[in-house]
This record gives sequence, structure tokens and C-alpha cells, in this order.
Amino acid sequence: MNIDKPKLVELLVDKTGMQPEDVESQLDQLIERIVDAANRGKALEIKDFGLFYFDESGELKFDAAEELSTEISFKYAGMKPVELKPERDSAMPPVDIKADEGINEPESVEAETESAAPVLDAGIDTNKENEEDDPFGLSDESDDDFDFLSDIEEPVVEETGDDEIAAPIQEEEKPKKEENKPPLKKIPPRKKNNSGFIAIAAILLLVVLIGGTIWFMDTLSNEEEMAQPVATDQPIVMPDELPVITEEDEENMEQLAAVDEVTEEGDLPVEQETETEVEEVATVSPATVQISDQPLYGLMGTVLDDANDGYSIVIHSFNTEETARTTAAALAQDGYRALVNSRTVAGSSMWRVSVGQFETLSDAQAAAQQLPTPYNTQNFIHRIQIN
Amino acid sequence: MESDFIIAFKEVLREQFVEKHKVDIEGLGTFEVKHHEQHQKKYDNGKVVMIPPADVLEFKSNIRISNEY
Repeated sequence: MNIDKPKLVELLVDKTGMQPEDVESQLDQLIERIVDAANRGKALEIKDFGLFYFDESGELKFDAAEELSTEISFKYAGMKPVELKPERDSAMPPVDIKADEGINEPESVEAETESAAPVLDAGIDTNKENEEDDPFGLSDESDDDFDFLSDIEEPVVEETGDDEIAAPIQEEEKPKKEENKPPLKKIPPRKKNNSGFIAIAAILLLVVLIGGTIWFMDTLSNEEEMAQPVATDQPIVMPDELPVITEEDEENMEQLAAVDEVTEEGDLPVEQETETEVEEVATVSPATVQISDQPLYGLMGTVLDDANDGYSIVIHSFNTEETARTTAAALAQDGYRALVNSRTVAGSSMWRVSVGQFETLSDAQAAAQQLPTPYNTQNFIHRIQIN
Repeated sequence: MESDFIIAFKEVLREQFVEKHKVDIEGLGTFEVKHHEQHQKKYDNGKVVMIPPADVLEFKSNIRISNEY
């Protein structure tokens, strides 16, 4: 639809409730001011709308303000340009580039001919096109380029042989590649090539070593932690298991639990059930009364046996049953459905104190976020064990 | 010139732009919203960037500085 000036005046009259003549004169004033300001070499800005100005060619231009552009393009708001292909520097260096370099190296040392640079570039360009299909520049590729270059630079080829031995083609890395960029400054950087490369290789090696050591220490200390359970009574919130279990789905939960309980699978559940019942009686009034007015599943209330087929949020894990029971009793006093479960973790049995009984994992996750501060992040959800 | 008028002017134009109407103001120029399809842009350094689609307001005017003097 096309809006011309009379139509615009009409719309403005509707909007403002002013007289058509007033609107028209106001509009004319506005246009006059825009053109006038532009003529004086100034830009006239209408706030939240845009900027009117004359560009170098003397044409009246308009730049829409950020707000206006966003509003007009609201459908595509938040869409950002996406880079599809990594920049050359960040791409995996193909082996053949190195090969090219090896060839050009001697030539530049003995006499830097102008032709060296273009040839090098040409080689790289062909490689670049191949990068997509063959990001690691497998050997066929490098052979081709090698031939291509040697055809052109006949005299150089002999020397290449020697040099290749000095600088092996096979193990290649970024530093070399970066030096492709300033082809004219060949001599100085080339000489540093090896030392730079060795330094980076050494650093990489070091990092791998340190990483390996840390990882090794970590696993060691974890084992130690798990191996000396009965010594301390401190609550452990089981950091190791946190991320894993909360993110697992139902099946995985069961699998994990199954692994946990390799040893005591048969006996435990019965024990647990009776224990929780005992606690229930001890802390709160008779369960039968409660059942009538509380839902089957939930965070608060008393533990219901019928709800034991669901999930519970583990917030404490103890080495001794006694502490677990005390904590659970305290939680029950606060109105939570507190359960105590025993699991065998890394060969020793842990007593888990959990709250709530939930039908689904997602219910439990939602409830876990509502828990008071230390618990809303430090928890994981497990399936209540009956099997 | 009243600020009420400017505000109304902005609002009216905004509404028209959002509805993709072409607005032709005599003595000033023509506003038109053009749709730009998503496209790939290649830079000299080999970078290829996917530019998202967008609706862009374009303004054309036949007014030139020389016209006023």
C-alpha cells in the first residue's frame, strides 16, 4: 500500500485530533526544517526515529534510528551473522602448506626472487580451497602441490631435498602457517621457525603433562575420600555425583543405582522401608491421619510408602547411619518428607538423606530449585530404592 | 511546531513501516521497507559469514542541495 502526503495528513489527523490544515502546515514546517538543517550542513535528528542529512553527493539521506530499525525488523530480532567457515588462521593447518614452505625456504635464503611470493600464495590458495573437503590435508594433496611447485621452480628442487630432511614435513603446526602471511619478510622469521615450533611443542607437552598429573591426583584423592568413610561424621554433599545424576534420565538413574548396590542389593530395601516408617512415627503424628489430607507426592508432609516408587532429592550424604537419622529427623521437624537411604558408593556404604517424594524426575527437579539456599544447588535426585 | 505533532508523526510513520507500507512524502522523499533475504557474505580473508534476513527501511529522495539555492 502506498501512503502519499494527503493520506499521511489523514492519518495524522486521526492520530492527533488536530485540524487537517494545522496538520498540513505542521508537516510542511517539519519538512522545511529537515531540508533547511541539511542545507546548512547539519543533520536533523528526530529522536527515536532517525537522522536526515545530505551526503557528499548532495543527496538527502535518512538513517533510521536503532529503535526504528529494530521495530521494523522485529521478526528477525536477535539474529546475528554467523561465520560459516573458520578464518584461515584458526583452521587446521593442512600438511601440504608446510610442504610448500619447505620448498620455498631454500630459494629465499639464496636469493629472494620476486616470483617467490606469488608462487607461495598460489600454492596456499589452492590448498585453501581444498581445506573444506580435506581439513587435515592428507598426503595426496600435499603431493600434488609439491609437484605443482617443483614444475615451476625447477632449479630449486634439488635443494629442496636437503632442506626437507632438515625440516621434516610430516609434523606440522600453526606457527609455520602464520608465517605464510608476510611472505616478503622471509629470511628473519624462517630462521626462527624451528625454535618457535619447538617452544610451542614443548609448551603443549608440558600442558598435557600437567593436565595428566592433575587428573591423576584428582582420581587418587577421590579414591582416598571414598576409601575412608567411617572415620568422619561430617556431612558430605557428594560433589562428585551431583552433576552426573541430576542430568541423567530415569533409566540411567536406575542403572547407576544398580551399580551402586552391587553388594547389598538383596537385603537393603526391606531394611530401609521399615526404618523410614519408624522415623515417621517418631517424628510426626500417626501416618494414617496424614494420608487423608496430603497428596501422594510432594516435598512436604510425611513419608508415604505408596509414594516410594518415585524420586527424592538427596541433600545430605553421611558415613554413619546415626548422623543421617538425626539430620532426617530435624528435616522432618521442619515439615519435609525426609528419607534415609543407604547406598554403597565406591565400596563403602553411604547414608543419604533426601527430602520429598516425587512422581517424576522433572517434578523433583522443579522442587529442588525451591529448596533453601545451600540445598537448591547442592543436591541430586535419585530414585527411591525399593527394588 | 508542536512536539505533539512530532510524536504523532513518528508514530504514524512507524505503524506504516511495520505494515510494510510505502510512504511518499512530497517535498521530502519516499520511505520504503525492503526485505533482505539471508545471504552469505565472503570477505577477502576467506571468512564466509551468513547474514540473517532483515527488513530494512530505505529512504529515497530527489532533493539535492543545489535545489535549494
